[in-house]
Amino acid sequence: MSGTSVRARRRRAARVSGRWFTFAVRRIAALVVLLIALSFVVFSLLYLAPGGPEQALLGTRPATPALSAALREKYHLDESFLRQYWLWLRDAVLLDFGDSTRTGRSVSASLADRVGVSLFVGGYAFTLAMVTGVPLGVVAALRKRTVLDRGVVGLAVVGVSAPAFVTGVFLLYVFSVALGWFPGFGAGEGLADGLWHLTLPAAALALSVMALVLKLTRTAMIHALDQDYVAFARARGVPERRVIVRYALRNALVSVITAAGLVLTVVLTGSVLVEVTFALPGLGSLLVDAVENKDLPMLQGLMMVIATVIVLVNLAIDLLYTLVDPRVRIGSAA
Amino acid sequence: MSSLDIANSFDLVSITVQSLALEGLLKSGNDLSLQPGLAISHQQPDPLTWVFRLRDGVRFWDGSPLTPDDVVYSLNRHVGEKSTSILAGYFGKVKSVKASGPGEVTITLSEPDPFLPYILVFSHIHSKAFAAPLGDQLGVAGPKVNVMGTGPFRVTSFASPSNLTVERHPGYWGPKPAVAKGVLNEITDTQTRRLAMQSGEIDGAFGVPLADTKAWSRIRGAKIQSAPGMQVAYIAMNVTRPPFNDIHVRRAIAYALDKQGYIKAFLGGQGEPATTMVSPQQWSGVMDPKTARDRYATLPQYPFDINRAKQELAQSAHASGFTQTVEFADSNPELGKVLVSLGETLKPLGITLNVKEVPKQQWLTHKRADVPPGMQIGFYSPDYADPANHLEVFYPSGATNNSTTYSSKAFEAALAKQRVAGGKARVEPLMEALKIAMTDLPYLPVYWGNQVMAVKDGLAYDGFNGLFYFQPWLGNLRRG
Repeated sequence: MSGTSVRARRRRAARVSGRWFTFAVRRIAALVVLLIALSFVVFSLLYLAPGGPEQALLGTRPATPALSAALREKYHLDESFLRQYWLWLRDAVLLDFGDSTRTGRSVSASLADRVGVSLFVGGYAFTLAMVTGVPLGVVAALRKRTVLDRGVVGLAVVGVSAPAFVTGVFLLYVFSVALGWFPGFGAGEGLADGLWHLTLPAAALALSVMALVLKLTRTAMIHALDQDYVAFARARGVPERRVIVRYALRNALVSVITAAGLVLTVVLTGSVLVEVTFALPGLGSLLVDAVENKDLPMLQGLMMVIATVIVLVNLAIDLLYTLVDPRVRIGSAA
Repeated sequence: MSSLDIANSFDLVSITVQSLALEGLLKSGNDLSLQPGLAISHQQPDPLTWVFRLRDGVRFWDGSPLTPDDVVYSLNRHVGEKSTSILAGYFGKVKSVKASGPGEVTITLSEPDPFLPYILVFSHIHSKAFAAPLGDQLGVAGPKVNVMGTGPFRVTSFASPSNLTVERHPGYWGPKPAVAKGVLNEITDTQTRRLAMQSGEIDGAFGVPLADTKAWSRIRGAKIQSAPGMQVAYIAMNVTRPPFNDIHVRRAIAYALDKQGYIKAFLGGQGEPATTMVSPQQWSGVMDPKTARDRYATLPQYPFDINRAKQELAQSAHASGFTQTVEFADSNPELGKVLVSLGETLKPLGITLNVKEVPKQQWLTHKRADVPPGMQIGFYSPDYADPANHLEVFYPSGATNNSTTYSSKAFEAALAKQRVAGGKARVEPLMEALKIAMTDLPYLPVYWGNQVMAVKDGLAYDGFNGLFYFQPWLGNLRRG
């Protein structure tokens, strides 16, 4: 430390943040390309799928040819495929995704309304999965191959094997109907009410991903505890708690963060699995509704939001690596 | 509930909510009869002209009075070639809607339309001053309420399509409802809905799935109520496509339908074996359902009889049987069970049914295809309580729901005859049409499904009926 002047340190900091910046810019540029490609694929698939939104709207109700024609014109369905895509893209770059064919409301407004609930459930589930998964993984690693280890891992495997909507109904029955502790549907209003309403959905979602966190933490911890520096630390008489946390866990964190990134994308996009079960007005239930009703503008808007979330989460995780482990550098190959 | 504007959202959930806040010129009574609504009376000087006299003293929630202009504006949204309203199909015969004097509106038709009064029940009247500036944002969910009606309940919030609150409209022209406030939640998952009823979080629920009525009836602290069925489950067969172009094949399948068994096993008893596409309740406006049921006994009957099914198949060009794929929509799982059971019955006859569950949209697309599938199973809820409703939408060639390519001059002549006949004179031509339909068998009616709801103990719902969704039903709720 003594050899490094303040100026040199600043210079290095500037160089690092400059690298971060170009890295982030490059990833965001890649995101734009990805979004355009994805929007085209989604648009094509919807175009090829049978039935149009006008049929979804009419259902089995009587339709005159004039009405079908008027509806097709309203949604530009008689234009060529490429022209339809172009009309969509032109507005989409200005963040105008059109109006939902089902509700008539603008897609952007509908998404803005609902993204909060999904982020809340996702964030809550993520927190639950991490605060239970990591400690349990550490405990399992410390008590490797004991009954406790097998028990914890076994339970987690049960959790990951049951789909979130099944776990959801189970939780609903136990905690809402039998015990009456939590409400059975809806998202609530405000933070406290929201927490109360969203605990069961978040728990259902967390249970399905906790096993991943637990297993990865356990493996990484076992590996780290086997290293020479841990043996040395113990030999030097470093307190056991410090050995576990500062020496072993910190080194195991890179794997845990990889798992965290995965878990975060799964819970954010997996809300579709619990939102219908718990009647939550989030992006997941909106997606189900849009698919059922062939609500093209809504589906396109949703896909864009979901893809953006996944890319941004991955970017954040990559940046986080360098903070946790200084050996990981963002290089030109990143 | 997707929107409060029926021109955009004509699905059952949306209508159920709209009917609390908005009214039409006519009302649907608890006995399914037509009653005066925003129009106190109507006259028909000639078959093409309907004159409606508006009720005095009707006020919108903001206190402004109902005027003929509001009616003309609201109805004209569904009229004309350029209209994108979902109701435009129902308004196909309407030429113009005009204010013809103080408190008077005249509707002129291009050809006679006996269904016009029924359509006016759900053609909601909006405040023009409120609705016109909103354009296509009328009735859309959002931070502010985008609808203004005359109904007994005022919408106080509709921020998200899954949740809506209402309050009693103090200036309502009709009797004051017992319910002061209501919170309406859309819970699409049927299990979650049942658990919400079981935990006592909700006071009542519509749309109790027929297949789950047993589980619902076991809920402590709540009771289920059912209204006799007006919805029909049916099998449609393409009469120009082998093997179903053979009447003996269609009859063989008709005799193989164990309707009573399906109702018991798959509907928890909430239905009645259907002998025609038209449920007896549908006759309410013409004659009482009991008389209709008696008359049905004189029509061709196809009781469950496997030997007669065998005999019919033996007489057909497909005596050794055939293999057929049949689709049902994922929104009606009980129909899938019917098909699987029917398949088991038909197996000994050499007929193999490949039962396939498909998304509702795909089912609809196939149903509407130029060459409809050989066989399809479906479920239809009535638009109004008139015996001609299902006959008009299913049987004439070119009708929206005719997925059988069936076309019969004799049937269409009988149907045309009842259109111009009034009142009781419609009975004979209608029965004639039904007789032809049940002889030619393009459709096999399976059952008339009940409408089932649940309500908490301590509350009572008066006059629950098969068309409750067209009524301001919250007003039927009271303590008791």
